[in-house]
Amino acid sequence: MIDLNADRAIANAPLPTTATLRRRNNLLIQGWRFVTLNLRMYLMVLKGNH
Amino acid sequence: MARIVILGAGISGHTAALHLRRQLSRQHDVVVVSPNSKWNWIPSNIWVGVGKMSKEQVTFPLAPIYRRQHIEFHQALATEIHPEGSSENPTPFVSIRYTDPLRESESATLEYDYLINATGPQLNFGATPGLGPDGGHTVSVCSAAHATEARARLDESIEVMRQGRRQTLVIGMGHGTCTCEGAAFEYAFNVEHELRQAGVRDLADVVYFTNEAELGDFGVGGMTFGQQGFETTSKLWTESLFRERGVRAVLGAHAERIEDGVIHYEQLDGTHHELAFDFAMLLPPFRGAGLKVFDREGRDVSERVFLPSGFMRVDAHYDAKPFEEWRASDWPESYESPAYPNVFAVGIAFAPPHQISRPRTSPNGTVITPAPPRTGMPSGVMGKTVALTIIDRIKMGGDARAHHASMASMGAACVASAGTGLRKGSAAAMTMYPVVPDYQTYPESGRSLKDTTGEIGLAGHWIKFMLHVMFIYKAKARPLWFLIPE
Ligand SMILES: Cc1cc2nc3c(=O)[nH]c(=O)nc-3n(C[C@H](O)[C@H](O)[C@H](O)COP(=O)(O)OP(=O)(O)OC[C@H]3O[C@@H](n4cnc5c(N)ncnc54)[C@H](O)[C@@H]3O)c2cc1C
Repeated sequence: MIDLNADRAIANAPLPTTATLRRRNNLLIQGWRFVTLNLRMYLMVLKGNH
Repeated sequence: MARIVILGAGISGHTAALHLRRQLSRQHDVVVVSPNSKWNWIPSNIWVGVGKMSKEQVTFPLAPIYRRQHIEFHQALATEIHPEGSSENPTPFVSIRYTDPLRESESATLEYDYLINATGPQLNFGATPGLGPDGGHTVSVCSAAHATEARARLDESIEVMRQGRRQTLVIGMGHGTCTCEGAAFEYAFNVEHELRQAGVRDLADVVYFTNEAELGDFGVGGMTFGQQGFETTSKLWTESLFRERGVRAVLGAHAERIEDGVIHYEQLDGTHHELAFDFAMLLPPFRGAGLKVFDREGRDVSERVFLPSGFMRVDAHYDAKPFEEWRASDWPESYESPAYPNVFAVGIAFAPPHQISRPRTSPNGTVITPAPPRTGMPSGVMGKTVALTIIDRIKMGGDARAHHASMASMGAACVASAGTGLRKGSAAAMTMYPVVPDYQTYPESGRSLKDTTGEIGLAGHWIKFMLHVMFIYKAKARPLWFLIPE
């Protein structure tokens, strides 16, 4: 049975820690994520183009 | 000499036109029919809708590009397909009605050897009374013009909050069968970001109103990610973002009618409710373009080529069957019409065999299930794939094998913006492989755990912005455009 009570689900969801929030905005870490995410997306395109 | 007519100059049609022109000599004609004079990078309409980009930054005129590329362009609406020609002339043709202001209300016919239907969605605001910007009570971000209007209404709402009055902003889906949940999700979080920037967040209730039964479904049945040795779901991940940003949600909802400031809706459990709003951006459900098809004798044979939804039948398996029996192989690979093999449909114009999310109906019989999304990346890939098939058939003969690109063996990257700004922006970047779950190959979750990922951060925003720059560059057919993948 699905639970349509979104308020409850949202209230029980985990919150990111301060460290996670910092990581999400840290220029060095995000620069690295930018490179790896692009690579991942590019590989995905290649995988789909067979 | 062959003549290829492409109906629609959106992501899939324009991609097909550019690849055809690049690989076919000038003795062959590539013809594009599209009612708008401008090309629109639709994903960035979200940013127009919050005032971070102008209409001009997300559109450009098509005619100069097509002139430079030697592509024949008709600013017109296709109305009829005559795949058997007429009783006098067996050459297939399409009928068009010009929207070009210089030729307004003129009609014409265009003969073709190959036809690509890339007409995308017709925005079906009429499905919900009171929905939409034209005579309704809600705004939309589906076109750059709609998004400009949405921005003006959002500014009015922000102004009211600056005067100290609370506002409820509802963003989501205007019908139980809508698709593009990702776009509504993005707009909700961009609006939330704008409210914080404007210093009025504490006076705003932001509500995401959706036909998804769970957050994180996105019309693809949700995703399971492999993360640091654990499996986690897009549901948990999305709920976490909603909690962090204080956005509420209404789930499993079908908007029945919209009055000034009130959405009347039914939920999956069959209950009926009202939701008051001051600002509402609700996406419409989609239909096909409504093209008619006639045989040689002039008889209407549209139902042989199109489903009642107006989307075109292609090489998919359309027989109705329960969710448990859905297979990856139900999805089309070559996008050829079974009725007329020289006719193809790509992007949103092709009829999917069924949804991707589990189908759900309320006890009152109302279908409340996201329609399957056909996002930009698969749409572009389909456009290119069909272009390659046609090129082979022109160069090697009509029997050349079709190129294949099934959504069940294709990945997609979805970068959902959650706020703009080079230092303060953020986006949820998701990759999934394949788009359509394949439980035979990936019994655990239907998708590769390695290739299905999600993360939130500034890098996602940079990628979204980079895609904006890259795809507009590509669509303008600037030097080496073809090196940019679809
Ligand atoms: C607000 C919004 C945000 C989105 N964000 C993303 C995103 O971030 N990432 C992503 O991958 N996807 C996104 N999408 C989805 C993406 O825009 C679509 O997948 C894509 O545009 C589909 O391409 P298409 O060629 O099928 O249709 P379209 O791009 O819509 O093109 C259809 C074309 O056909 C023309 N046409 C219509 N009727 C006729 C006719 N009768 N005759 C001739 N021409 C006709 C139209 O004018 C248009 O030029 C978003 C969609 C929306 C609405």
